[in-house]
Amino acid sequence: MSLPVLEVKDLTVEYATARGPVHAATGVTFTLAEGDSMGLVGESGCGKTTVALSLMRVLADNATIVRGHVWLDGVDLTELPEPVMAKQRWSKISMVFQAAMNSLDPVHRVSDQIVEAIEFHEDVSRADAFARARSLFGAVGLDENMLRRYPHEYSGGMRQRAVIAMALACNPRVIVADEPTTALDVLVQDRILDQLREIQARLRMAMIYISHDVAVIAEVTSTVGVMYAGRIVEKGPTRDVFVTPIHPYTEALLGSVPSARGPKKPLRTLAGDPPDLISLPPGCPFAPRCPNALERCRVEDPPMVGSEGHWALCWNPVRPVEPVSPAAPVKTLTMTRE
Amino acid sequence: MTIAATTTASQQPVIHPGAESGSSAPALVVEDLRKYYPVGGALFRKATSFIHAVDGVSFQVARGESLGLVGESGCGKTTTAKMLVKLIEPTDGKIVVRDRHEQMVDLATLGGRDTKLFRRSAQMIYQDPYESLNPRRTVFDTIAEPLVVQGIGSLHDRESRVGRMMSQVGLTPIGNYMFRFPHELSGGQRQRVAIARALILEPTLVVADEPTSMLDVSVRSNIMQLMLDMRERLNATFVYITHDVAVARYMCDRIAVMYLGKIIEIGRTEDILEHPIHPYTRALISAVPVPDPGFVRPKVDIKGGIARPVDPPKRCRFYDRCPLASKVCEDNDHPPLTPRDGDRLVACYNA
Repeated sequence: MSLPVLEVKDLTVEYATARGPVHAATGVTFTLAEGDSMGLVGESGCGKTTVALSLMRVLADNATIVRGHVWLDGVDLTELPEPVMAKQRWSKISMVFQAAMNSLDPVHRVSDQIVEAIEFHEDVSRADAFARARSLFGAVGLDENMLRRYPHEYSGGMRQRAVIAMALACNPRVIVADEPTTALDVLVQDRILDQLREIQARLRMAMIYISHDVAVIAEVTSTVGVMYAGRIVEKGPTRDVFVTPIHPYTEALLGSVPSARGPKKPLRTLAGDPPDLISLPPGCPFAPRCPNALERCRVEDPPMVGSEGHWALCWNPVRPVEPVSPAAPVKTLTMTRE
Repeated sequence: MTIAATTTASQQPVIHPGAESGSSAPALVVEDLRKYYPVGGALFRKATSFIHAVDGVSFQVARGESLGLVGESGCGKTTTAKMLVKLIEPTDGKIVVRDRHEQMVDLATLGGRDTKLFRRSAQMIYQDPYESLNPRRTVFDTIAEPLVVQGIGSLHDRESRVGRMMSQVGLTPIGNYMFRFPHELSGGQRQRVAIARALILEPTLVVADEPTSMLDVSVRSNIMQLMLDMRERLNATFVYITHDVAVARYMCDRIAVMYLGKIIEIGRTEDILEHPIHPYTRALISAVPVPDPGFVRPKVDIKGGIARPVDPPKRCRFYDRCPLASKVCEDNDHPPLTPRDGDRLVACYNA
């Protein structure tokens, strides 16, 4: 069993708006060990990107981490002063953003951008930094002649590879990939997913893979958290969650995804729209759309059911499961590290 | 009964896998369609190069049938779609559409007045409901606009027609939505408005350009169901543009796979998905992630990336990336679509 690298506990984030606070993430809790790849899946506005931005501490100005902690190798990132956090970013935890074009500076050569990132974090010579950039390009399948080019000379897929190379530049412990292939064609996506998986396994990094695409999550992650209205409503090994979902939302979400393979099953549809995160209903936020909703779902917060490894927050799950004993899943973290 | 009203625990709403089309008389005939865009020209210098966006595309679609145009970005599927509804003019080739009066209309012969009449028969649904709706128009104004433009009905008639249309697309209760503006609607509701606008004239040809790709998964299946219902109700011919073969599987009776302006394989959707013949189709289908953690996809065995079709060489468009490429492919023109098992057509010398 590998040591936990990243431990997130009760992470709760709000955005201040004119209409009131937006409850973008509520009570998000998970642990990631070396070499783990965890997916966060959900629809737009479910809070998955907010979680990513909080881990990196690059939230928008109107956002606040109201509660909760993020321990990276035992250091609480939420309490670090910004200059210290800046050193952690990219060297300990790095992120691949959805819009690759926006993560590259259009007026600088890609090589300069990667070298600059390496030099900021490590005491290395320019030549060494450049050599590392070159080997990173090899790792992500880019021709090293592209290094000295500008971002506009790259295609969409190449840009995304360059951004992945940059995220890997300082050998981070954790990489957060936020919809890294969403804007790409399937054949390009296929290759980037392959490389990402291969690199992640080889470097034993922990990866958080964020996507709305259930099929991609099925392929690249070993555990998955399903998010709805800012909460992780179900979490477990990817295979278990897909084969035996507990939460009605998970079941509906998985059932509504068309597949190009296997028997052509009828698609589920789900009525209604995701809730307004400013005025959330009491009780379970999914209750208004839930085919299984009971009276109490609209009143009381749902309990954690299932097992420690695979649980959901639900009063009336889609299959019979035991309640999880209150102390079990959200373990207090061991803070001792040498 | 509306879609929105059908979700209860006891009867789970489902999309039933494709009802097969019955009639066979072609409602849309496309012959050797081409669209070239000049590149590298200047004010007093004629362009010498051309992007062959669509390069000799032919197909037929029967009344009530749904054909999917499938391919990656830049394959020419959207350009083809826009030519079908006469939003852009082809460089060459012929498009004949059966209109609402059962007349076969050659789009090239239509003048201004006739084009406007033709629009009653052919409508398009766009990808992005955040951009395709005028933010200053209410739901009513948006859906009624085609009626106004075409001068159909009195205000009273229009009101009742819009009301009926709204309940058909699931914008209910009608009174709640009629006078809302797009910013007050969710993405799924906006796309319902866009669909209602396209269908209010009861067109016989509907061209839908990735109508669900901007929507969230749980909303997407609702909109897919709605489009299937409306197709059945109107007995309209659908051309469905998508990059997602999994979506095409549910929406289309047949699919045509496009690569750099050419159709390289066309046939019944299930046949192609189960048994793709062209190496590009095989790669495309292998590359689609499968929402099943236990499924191991076959390796994709093509190399390189998609190029811009600027003055492409005569040989097969897929030559540079093809695992089966041989001397035949290099020496000959792009292969013609030839019949394979059943009603499949494939453009390949070696597959």
